[in-house]
Amino acid sequence: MRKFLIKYKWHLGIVLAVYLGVAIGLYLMTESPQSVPFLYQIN
Amino acid sequence: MTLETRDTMPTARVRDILVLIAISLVAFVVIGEVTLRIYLEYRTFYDVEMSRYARLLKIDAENPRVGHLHRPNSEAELMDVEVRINSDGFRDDEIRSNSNGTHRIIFLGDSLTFGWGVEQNETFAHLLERRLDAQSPTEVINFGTGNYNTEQEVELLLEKGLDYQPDQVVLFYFINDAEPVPQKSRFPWLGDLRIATFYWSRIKALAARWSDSAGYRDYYSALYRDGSEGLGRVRVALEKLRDASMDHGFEIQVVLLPELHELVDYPFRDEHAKISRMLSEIDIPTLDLAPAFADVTNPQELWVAPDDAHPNAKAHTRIADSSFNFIHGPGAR
Repeated sequence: MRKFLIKYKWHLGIVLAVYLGVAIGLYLMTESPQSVPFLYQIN
Repeated sequence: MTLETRDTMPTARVRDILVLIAISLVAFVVIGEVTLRIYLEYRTFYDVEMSRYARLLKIDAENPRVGHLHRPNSEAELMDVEVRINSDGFRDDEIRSNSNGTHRIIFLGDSLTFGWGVEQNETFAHLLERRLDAQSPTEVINFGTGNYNTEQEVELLLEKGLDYQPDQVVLFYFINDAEPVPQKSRFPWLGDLRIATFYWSRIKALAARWSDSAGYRDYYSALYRDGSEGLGRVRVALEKLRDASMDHGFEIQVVLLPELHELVDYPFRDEHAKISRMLSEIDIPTLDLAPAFADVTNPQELWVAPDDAHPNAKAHTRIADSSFNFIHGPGAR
């Protein structure tokens, strides 16, 4: 596993950066006054 | 992007890609969950708090028409507010088995009546109890439960409320009360993952922004289209409530709570008129509180938080002030 991680460390870093970018983008795009109905969040 | 690899076998390359995807996903979930939990120490998200409410304070009800109940003797800090559920499953003080001549009123409703996001002593249920009790001995029992619709509220009254022998029942109706009984999640454990809740709700919010029909206005209006199933169920529930009041001898009233996005030019006048007509036909006295909020030019000053349009303490005070005479009026006593 260690060998694998060293071999693909840059790929892993880039993929994680993409995920992080998507999360931050989603946060910024939806950080506004509530515009959707109250959600169903039951159990 | 191409993978730098000395493997010449395509299967080895595919395997490496799959392993890479799996590792990156696990790493992202772990890092994201830890980061989000640290961030949530300094900020509250409405959707995460609702998910915590469901996980910490709710249990399944045996009666599918009730759906869910509060977990008796439970407590949690939600939206930075301490919430305590009593031994009967209500956000209220312990209730005496006998009213001892005190006028007993049950408040039915959803998260607004429950007092989501406000301290217990700031809820309109508490404020009204204090004011009514100052006039004559009165006890208000708050049956408000998050995510309830009218059908669930009435079923809860029939199942648990009649044991308290109420003199009066007031149902606080909100625009989303015509929704169907909510279904339990198939993956309830996901509610414990903050990152899952975050993605689920934020993707929904983004979809609503890009869609013409997923915003709150169209969504709520659609519940009141002629022949809608939800509206039919509301009528059946209200008729049940009226029948129970006649059988058990308690007064009933309905208060229509306003939706707090736009108050000067209230967008749900037609929907309120429709439900008011229905209540009139069923012979239940009704008070529409939307006009009492029509002078509010900045509705967000009445919200619990920017991402949560539940009424805050200021709005609860206004609800209590505006409905006091109606609830205390001669028709109710």
